[in-house]
Amino acid sequence: MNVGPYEILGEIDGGGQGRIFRARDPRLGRDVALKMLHVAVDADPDRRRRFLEEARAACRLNHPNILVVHDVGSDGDQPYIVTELIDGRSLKDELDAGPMPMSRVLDLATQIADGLAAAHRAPIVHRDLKPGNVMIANGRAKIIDFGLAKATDAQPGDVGTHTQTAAHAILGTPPYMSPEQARGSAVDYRSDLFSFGSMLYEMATRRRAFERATPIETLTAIQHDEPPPLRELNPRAPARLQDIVQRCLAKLPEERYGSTADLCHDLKALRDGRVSTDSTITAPQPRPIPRWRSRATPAIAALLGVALLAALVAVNVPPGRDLKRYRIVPVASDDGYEGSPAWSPDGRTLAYIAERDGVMQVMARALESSRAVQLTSAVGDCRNPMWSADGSRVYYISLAGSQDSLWSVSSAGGNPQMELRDVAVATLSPDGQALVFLRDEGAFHMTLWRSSPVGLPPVTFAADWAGQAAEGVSTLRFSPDGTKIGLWAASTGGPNAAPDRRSFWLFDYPSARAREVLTGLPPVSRTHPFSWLADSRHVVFGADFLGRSPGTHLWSADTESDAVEALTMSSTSEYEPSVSPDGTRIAFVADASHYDVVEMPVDGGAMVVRRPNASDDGDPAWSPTGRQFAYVTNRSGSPEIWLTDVDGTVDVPLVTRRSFQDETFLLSRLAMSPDGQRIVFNRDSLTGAGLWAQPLAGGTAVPVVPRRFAGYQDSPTWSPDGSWLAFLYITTAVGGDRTGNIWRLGKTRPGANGEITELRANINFLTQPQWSPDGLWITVELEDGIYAVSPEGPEQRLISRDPWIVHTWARDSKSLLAIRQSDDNRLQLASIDVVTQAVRILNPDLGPVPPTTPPLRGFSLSPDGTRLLTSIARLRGDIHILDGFERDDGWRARLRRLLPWGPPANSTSSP
Amino acid sequence: MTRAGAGAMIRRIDRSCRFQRWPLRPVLTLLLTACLACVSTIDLSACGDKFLRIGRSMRYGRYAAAFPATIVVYSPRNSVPARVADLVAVLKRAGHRPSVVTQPAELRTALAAGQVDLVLTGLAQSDEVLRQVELAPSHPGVVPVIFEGNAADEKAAEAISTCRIQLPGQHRNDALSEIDHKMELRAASAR
Repeated sequence: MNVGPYEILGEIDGGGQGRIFRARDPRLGRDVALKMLHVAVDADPDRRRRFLEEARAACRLNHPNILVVHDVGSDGDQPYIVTELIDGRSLKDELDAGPMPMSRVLDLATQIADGLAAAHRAPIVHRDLKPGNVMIANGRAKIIDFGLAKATDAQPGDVGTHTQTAAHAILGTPPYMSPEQARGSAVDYRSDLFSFGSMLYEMATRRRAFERATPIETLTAIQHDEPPPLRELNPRAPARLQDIVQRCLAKLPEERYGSTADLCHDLKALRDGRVSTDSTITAPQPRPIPRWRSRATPAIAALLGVALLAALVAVNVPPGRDLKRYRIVPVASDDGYEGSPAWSPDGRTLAYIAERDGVMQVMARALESSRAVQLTSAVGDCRNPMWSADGSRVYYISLAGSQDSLWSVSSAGGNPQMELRDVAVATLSPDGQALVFLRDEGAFHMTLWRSSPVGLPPVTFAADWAGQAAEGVSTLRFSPDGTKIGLWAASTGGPNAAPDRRSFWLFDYPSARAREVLTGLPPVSRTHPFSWLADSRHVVFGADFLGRSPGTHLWSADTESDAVEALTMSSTSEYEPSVSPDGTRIAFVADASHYDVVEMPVDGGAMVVRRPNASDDGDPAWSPTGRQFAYVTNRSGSPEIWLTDVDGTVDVPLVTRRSFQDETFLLSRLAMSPDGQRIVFNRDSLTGAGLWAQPLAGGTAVPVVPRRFAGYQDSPTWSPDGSWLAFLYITTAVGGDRTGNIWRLGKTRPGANGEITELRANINFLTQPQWSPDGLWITVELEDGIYAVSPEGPEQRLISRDPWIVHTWARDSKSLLAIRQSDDNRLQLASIDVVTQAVRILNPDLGPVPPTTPPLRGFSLSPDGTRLLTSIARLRGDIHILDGFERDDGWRARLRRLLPWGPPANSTSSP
Repeated sequence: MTRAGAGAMIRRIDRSCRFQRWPLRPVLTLLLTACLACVSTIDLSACGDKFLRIGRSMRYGRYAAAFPATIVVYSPRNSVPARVADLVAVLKRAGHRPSVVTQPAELRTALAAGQVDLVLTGLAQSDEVLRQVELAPSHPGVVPVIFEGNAADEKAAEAISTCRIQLPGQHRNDALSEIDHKMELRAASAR
């Protein structure tokens, strides 16, 4: 018997959606699975078209955890679908066979989530995810029947199997349906997340989350009931798994995961042991007792008895963070971004920044009020608000002229006042008498200054400080007692600096004696503003301790002992803490900002998002065929480079965490070789920052420049014939008219001995050089504009003096395509004639410029010269208050709390 | 983020990532020392500039008036010329509060009405404006605007003020910088 071109060998199964046969494809000589669907598609042309569209969309899914669909067709009136043949059994069969070890539960769940994430990126929703639709063979889980639930159409009212597709009809399998499915509402990928949560619950507990006597009762339970906590049924299950399941099973779709990639990320972290499998909210757990104390315990017990020992342990072991005591309260959660919270001296008002009409402005909100007041209407973005000692004014950094400067404004609003020019980062003393600040001297060289009383001409402070080669991202804070200043410096190398890491410095005030502290901290990729606790000894900060935990979270650290303690650990990033004056509340930013890959036609059409999701995707680069592009993504929790088809059906990793031996904290600036065989990129890691090349066919990534030329290398661009690679690199200059790090443009022959030929010095690092298609010029940004320089000699020509955000060559090498910020903060696409410097606007409004640095990452023109790819920043940040914070005050305080007349264990005040 | 979301966040808080105080300290110190020895040539410079940071850097920023001023632009014509309208738009974008008057009576009213920091006017009207500002309660400064002027106009402008605006020919940031300079001088003399 034949069905279409397939020869039926025998029946495998008969399911709700159709009968499954083993069949042979005589054209390719392979065995396949052929499913004859219970669908009469001939009756309705629309239904037939929909079925084919859905099934063909599913055909394009290509992922190891999704069953490969080879073909879709119909034999007479009877539609069929042809898939790969799997020799395995379904997850349902596995669950029926008996309990699974937790490690297997996590492994299978991660695989299923991985496949689901790939489908959702397509974007295809399954709509009928259940154990019967997951096959397991050789340890690999494969989701089957993607898209078929919607494509196949059983009889209306048959809620026991599947129905659709008339709007608001019910579709799915009741025990695994989402509440919105149960109501017959429209569904999206979040419905699959709910079904996945139901399935995961069952895998971990062997009980269905929602199962009642009848399908109708089950549907009611899905909409209104909560299943018993997972750990009540399986106490061995990790608490983190319970959290993940709870989030998937949230009744409201918006309270589930924002993207399946995030779910996948959390599961992978749990499976790989990158996060604790321990309880997240339990009774306080004491820290392990130091070894010497453990050894002494028997002796103490023998001498003093059990009661005394208990008292000793109770007093001497610091309590763990009792997180049940905390409340986390959102205080600023408008659309867009709110950040940089700062408490007023009386602890009753928060100043912060928020985006208003495309510019970051200073806001203030009294905590007893539901309304925030906009204090500024600045032209440039405002940042780092801080209060005067009497609470009457708010200071902040914003542009004055074309320099970052210190401003102040009345806390009731009014005209702002420029206080001091040329201030990059500043801190006010608690008594308001002194301002200490960092000034950006250029070439990644920063100096410390003091103005006291505030407003007087500044004088240098700690002139011999050894960390002067810092970036503008460093942060500075006076301690509450005014005796010292903390500076978390992003050291950048240079004549005097420790070049290799972020460093935390303490300066005694006013003596300016400097010492480095917190040297025992694990490395971090970047610094964020920190806050002192009231004891002027501990600090709270946001950090992404590399290799320790995914994401940026709040930690507290003792500047005297280096002891570090986690305060938050969520799936967003938390940073910029501000401790209230009474020390019981910490305002912080919960951030979900990221970049999205976007495409725009050169002829002026609209910009469209290529990869809409919550992960950080950026730096796109076209392949020479124009059918694929590579991009950087953090979907797994660490930076990776992926290659995707333009239609999104194939999305495969090229460079991952496993490509290197040490931790990568940044991948950027991709450049595809003209022959499409290699991709070169910048990689920042604990052992250096340089250019690496990865073959697209697979294999090992290798450094482009041999290690003997160690030093920062960035921004690669290929010559059109692929024989040369030009890039930027750093050397350090001492003396002369430039001190600090000097960026140079050089070229090298990839694969040769790695010798670098210098082409030009004093390059602006933020603009990526571009080799022209005719090979005659390389663009670079010098101090006064974008220039084309010859790759062969000293010749150069000015192209534009405007500050273009990104640029690349047009295919004819006669003009540049570039994006800039218009006067009204809009992104403008233009072409610049490289001879006449004439600017022609191609699209006057691509949307608002995100108030970030950099607003765009990457800029790549398709080989046919018609489409541009870049990535654009999407800001999302809310301010929360962690209420009920209590620092560990040491054994004396703990003893006092144990005494009947001692202070209460915790004193909190509501915001 | 909703209140429920905040609750979910605290549920996810994981305190087990805490570093233990005593046992880890010497280990961390040792690790750091080893790390320093291994990576003495590391230079992380500039990578911080590639992370998403809130706020546009100076590079992407526009010119912002350091001394935002209330400015009257006096252009005694029946209609406001395009170049004056452009100038007003530039002033507004920089953070100033400009207004245009076209009649002597309007200028008198504007100066008498309240705080005016600067008057921008063409050379031909400068004498008239200077007389009026002397009577104005806020004693505004005067900045001459030279439209397509010559050397004689330059000299005349210098006699009126240390600052002047030349249009076209001067980069608008330079014009704005002249206004900031004038305002800074006024603030210094007021002190």
